[in-house]
Amino acid sequence: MALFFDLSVPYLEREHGASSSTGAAAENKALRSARLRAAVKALELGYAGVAYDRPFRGVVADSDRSRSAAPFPLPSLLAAAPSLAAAAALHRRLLRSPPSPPFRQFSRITLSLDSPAAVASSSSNPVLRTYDIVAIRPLNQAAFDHACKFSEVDMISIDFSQKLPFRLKLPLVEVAIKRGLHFEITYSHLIADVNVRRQMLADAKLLVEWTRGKNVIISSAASSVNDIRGPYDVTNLVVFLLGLSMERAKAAISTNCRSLLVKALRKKHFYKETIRIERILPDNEQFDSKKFLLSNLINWDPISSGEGDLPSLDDIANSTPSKKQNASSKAIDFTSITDGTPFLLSHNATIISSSNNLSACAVPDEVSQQDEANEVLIENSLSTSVTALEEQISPPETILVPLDNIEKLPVEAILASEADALQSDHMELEDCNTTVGDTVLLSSDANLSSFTVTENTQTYNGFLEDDEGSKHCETEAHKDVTELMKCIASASGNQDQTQLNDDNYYSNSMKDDMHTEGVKVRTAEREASPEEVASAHDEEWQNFTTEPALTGQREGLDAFLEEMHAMDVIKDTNVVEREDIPSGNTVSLEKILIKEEERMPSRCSATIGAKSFEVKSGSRFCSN
Amino acid sequence: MVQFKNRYMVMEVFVDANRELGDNDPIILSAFNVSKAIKDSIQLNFGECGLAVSLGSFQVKYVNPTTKICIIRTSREDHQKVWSAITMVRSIGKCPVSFNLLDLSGSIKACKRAALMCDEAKFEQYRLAAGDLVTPEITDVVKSCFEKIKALEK
Repeated sequence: MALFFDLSVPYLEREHGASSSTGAAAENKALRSARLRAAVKALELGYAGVAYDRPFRGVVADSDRSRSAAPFPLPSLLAAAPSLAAAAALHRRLLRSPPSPPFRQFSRITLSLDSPAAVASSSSNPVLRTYDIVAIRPLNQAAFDHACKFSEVDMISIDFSQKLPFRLKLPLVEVAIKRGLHFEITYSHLIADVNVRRQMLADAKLLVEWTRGKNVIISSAASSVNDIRGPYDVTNLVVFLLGLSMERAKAAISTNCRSLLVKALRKKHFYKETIRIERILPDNEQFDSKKFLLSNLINWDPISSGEGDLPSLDDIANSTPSKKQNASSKAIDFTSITDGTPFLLSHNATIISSSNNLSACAVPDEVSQQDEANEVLIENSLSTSVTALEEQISPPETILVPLDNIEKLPVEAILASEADALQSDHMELEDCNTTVGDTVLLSSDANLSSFTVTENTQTYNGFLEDDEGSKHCETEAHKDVTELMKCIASASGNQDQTQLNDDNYYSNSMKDDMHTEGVKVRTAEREASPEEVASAHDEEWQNFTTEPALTGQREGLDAFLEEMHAMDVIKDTNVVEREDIPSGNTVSLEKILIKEEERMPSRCSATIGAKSFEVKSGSRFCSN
Repeated sequence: MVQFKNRYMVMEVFVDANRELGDNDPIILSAFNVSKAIKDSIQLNFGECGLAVSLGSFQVKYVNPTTKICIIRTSREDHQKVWSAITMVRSIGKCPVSFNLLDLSGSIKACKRAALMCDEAKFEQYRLAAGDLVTPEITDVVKSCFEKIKALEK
């Protein structure tokens, strides 16, 4: 089971708004479409990730930060190749590559350096930290020596297509390998240009001999999409022409790449490789260390590319039938919208944390491409979501979620989110701020509650059953699912989590159940309740109307409640006042629930374990 | 017993990946086209002798012009060389192409099975992509190609 990566897709677009004549803009567009095609081709061929490589020469200025426009969102990829998911799935199967990991897009910069001083300065440049991978291309002997011995980059990429201006010496190469540097060989020159082949093969063979295949990476650097080849083809080229063994050659395009990515991303996100800076909670809450479960760390995905991650292939396949699906809407990074930087895909809070690092980076310089892509994104999602998006920039209180949008929202989503909040599957979810909580509502619509719930259900590893409103209940490793969804899904619950302890949690979730009956809860009563629900949650609930037909399962709930009382889990349930639609009287929580139970008999039963309990068939709460 | 051992490669062809989606194919694939392109590539990269040595067992056994699947047979000693040459093919005639290996097997039986599976999958994708341009004739042609696979002999 190997994941194949192509770590060098040229990224040549210039995005400086100042110099845009029509010629430059058109050229940019052509380059961008070429890059898009290359990415699509790579995805189709079964690669699990690409890195967009920006070649650079000279001093790295502040304006050269990694652009947010670099990764392509799902809709533009799908537009280029409608049968993308099927093709990708077929190829992955043939490559014996697991179909579940999502396609990732990384950003990379290659610095061409010609002096040791330049090499030294590049090591400490903070702008370089905005790129996922940093590569050095030495142009003379001194630079190469220095790079091998002292530089702090991820890899050394040598341009074999010209006559090599320096000598590869075995001791230097050995030192580099011992320090953990990778060497990169690009194969597209072999294919593209006949005369270059002679030159390239001779030098590359030397490098391969010295390194014996260790720490060697093969990538395409394909200027045109026709030069990209599939992983096995490339492996065979390396075996036959460069003399590596089959196993080493395959590793050169898969496991070496992956270890490079792990290291590079770790360098990027961790200060001195140990401390991760992350905005954990919105400012007005304090960190509740009880809730930071170890499972967060264990399930951390080391090579996630943040916003570059696409949904897994299954999700793409599910989303292809109607392009208007929320595959795009769930890809919106709401936190960065609140920062004012429109983003395309964001799944992982690693991008959130890195946006903290880039405190200086407010708005990308050139957003026109971004906007265009954003528009695509927004159009593809439901039109109703658009308004919500804009309003997300303001504080959550002002968010008005169109009510008709929410009708079919299965409360499983909310409930499951609470369950997940307890599970805390994903460490970064703490970061989701209040606005994100609303996106559960946003990203649903009449037909797509199923889709939304799919996402949620996927993360909960089978907590949710197939009931009305959810089409799938696949259990996938949650790190493969778009993490934003988890973020979203759990954010609403997360607010509770950080503030409440277990006791209050359950009453809260009871209240959730109430809402499914089309109940509007007044703010006043919310504040009166002993559980301090986060304000965003309140707002959400205020606007929240759902169909009655939902997570039934109230049978045995009064017994449940009694036990809860006995166990002192639920404190005061009768301060809850609610606006019942037929009559305005205030009833206690139990009565409400029992009422619902009468209305919606279900087949579930509530079981109460020591610390965990489940309410089956419809929604499950599982707490550790 | 000295036996002639072969390798059967199932490859797919990507024709002109740069063109816009929805255009018709610039060229029609045929066994002759593909074979000529590969032989040229072998000659260019490995020389006259390289070509001569691999020519003994080299044959393009099957081509499906719609789904762009082909089956190529080579001898076991040369299969890596021929495979590299195929990877380095840049164009058939005027049209830029690229090859991608789907399956490599030692017997015609396994090859037939893999080819059938890939062919059907690719035809599904073709149908998805082409939408309603798929005429019944095309479907018939493809079906007859499937039959041809099944009829492939040693």
